[in-house]
Amino acid sequence: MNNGCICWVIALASEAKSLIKDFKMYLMPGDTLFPIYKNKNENEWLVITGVGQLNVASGVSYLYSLCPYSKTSFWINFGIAGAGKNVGDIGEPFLINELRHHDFKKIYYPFILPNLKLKNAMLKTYNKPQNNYKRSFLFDMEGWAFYNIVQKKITRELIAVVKIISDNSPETILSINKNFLNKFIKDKIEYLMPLRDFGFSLSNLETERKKEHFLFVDITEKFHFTFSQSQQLKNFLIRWDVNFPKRPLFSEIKDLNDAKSILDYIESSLKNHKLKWE
Amino acid sequence: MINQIYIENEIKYHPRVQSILKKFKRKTPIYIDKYASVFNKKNQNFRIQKKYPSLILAKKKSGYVLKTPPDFGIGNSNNFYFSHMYNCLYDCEYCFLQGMYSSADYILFVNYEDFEDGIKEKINFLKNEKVTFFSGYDCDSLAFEKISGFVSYFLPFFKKFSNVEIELRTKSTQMDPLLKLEPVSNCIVAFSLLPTEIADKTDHKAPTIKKRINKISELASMGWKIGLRFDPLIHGENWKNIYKELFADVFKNIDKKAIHSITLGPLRFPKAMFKKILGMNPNSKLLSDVLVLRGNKISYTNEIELEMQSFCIDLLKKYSPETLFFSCKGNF
Repeated sequence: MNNGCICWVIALASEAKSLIKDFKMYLMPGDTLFPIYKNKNENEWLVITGVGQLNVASGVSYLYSLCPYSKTSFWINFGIAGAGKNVGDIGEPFLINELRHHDFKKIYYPFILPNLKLKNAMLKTYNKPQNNYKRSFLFDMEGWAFYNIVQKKITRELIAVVKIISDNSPETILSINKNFLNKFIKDKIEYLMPLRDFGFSLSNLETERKKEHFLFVDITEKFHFTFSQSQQLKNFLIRWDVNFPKRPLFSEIKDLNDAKSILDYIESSLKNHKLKWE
Repeated sequence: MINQIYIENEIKYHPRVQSILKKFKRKTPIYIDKYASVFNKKNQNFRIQKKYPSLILAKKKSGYVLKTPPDFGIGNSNNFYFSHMYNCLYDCEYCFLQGMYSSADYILFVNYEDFEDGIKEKINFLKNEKVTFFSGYDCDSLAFEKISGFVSYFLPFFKKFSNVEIELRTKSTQMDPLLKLEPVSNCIVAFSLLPTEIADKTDHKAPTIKKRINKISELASMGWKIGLRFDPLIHGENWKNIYKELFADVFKNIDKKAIHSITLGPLRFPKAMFKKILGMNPNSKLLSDVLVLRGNKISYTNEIELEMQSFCIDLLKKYSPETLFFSCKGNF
């Protein structure tokens, strides 16, 4: 049974290192456009995109094309961000509830996942690194572009942006280096766990909702169904399960030998059935 | 439970917004330019939002009062509806709201005064004519009362117009504002009812039929006018018996003198919305039944619809004069 899937989108390898280790992911072998990591069960994927909006957009598209569950995955952009002095302390994680862009007017309001014990904040994405710490929000170079591309592909409730404050003054930005980032993120992974669990459960819901009936492939591989017949079959199979939960369909249609007779059989069974409400 | 609160900048300082915010002290609102920045966007999942709905406080800019569909009424020839809220706390499988918006978030329009002006305008235009206003078309009239204060605001207003009726359509048992007031003679509290066996499977998050009947009984004994809305009529094995039991139960518990009107309506979905609704509820018993396309609606066959209608009318005649019966044919 599929329990959902998570796709992590992270700009820097040093931001991703602890997640890769803790979530037991390994580098996909072969010549890939971006470094892609996944776990053994292939239900957790991670792409390292590089810094900036173009990179994050390309990285998302690439992972989307590689991950077989990308359409029903929960997508998380995770990384560090600068922040105004009053927004929070260094190391404080935030679930972003408003995404703005320095150049574009379009504002996104990501779905807020309940009970995560993560503070919410606004994030503004810039084209260049920023060092104005008088602002009242977080700032980075990827968040908006990540959301902008993912919301075109999948349902908005399956997208989250999480940022940890890495610098909130000109002095603190000087201490950011690979080792600092690695340790810094390692200490914060516990804050991501409830979000990750929630992501798996929402992704699982979406997978269940979109999955095809287990008999659909068997039946359509055995007999030729036109496009409209296969749509009708999909609908009938779901209705069959709801109306006849204790009647295995396959044994009833095993002697039928074309699409039309199968559809006729299911349709007449459904027509003659009266719903039981008790 | 409200997940997040969004507020349109324009009404940030509206007193009704301030008073609602006091009820959500732990929430930090997000201020937005217009409700459409959050509500009804592409690629939203109604079912996930329904589990974790947000509240959007907004200002309605136009279309405060609208004409009802031609066959929607309870005796008067002038019928209007107004929606101070979009979406409902309950989650009923036959509700068209599931297909109407891609968002399940609640929008509450706080500018009641503008609705009031819109209603006054219609009343003045139709002076000396009988007019009915319906609330509860795009939401439940009473379920959100503790937050919205909608009924507490509008009942004293409608009380002033003797040629006007207001119907509050609901499944709620939260009747505080009504229980505190003297009955308002031109207000009809209309309850949606269906057999318990069906409601238990279809009316998610809504009060049970038993609780609804108890509340109707209480209001009726206080002197409030009651509307009984058997809409939609739902088919299935043994449907005749379960409707018989429902009617017997209702009329055993409610003072007949309090009944203002009884409406019967068929199960129907707008054609354009049905596929979307089915896609969101693939395991719904109700939606997996044999429903057919008739004109621009998806419904039971004409035969089933007529049989249900006439059977129920015959039964109801035993309890109530036919002059109180109205049918909602359900054209969209």
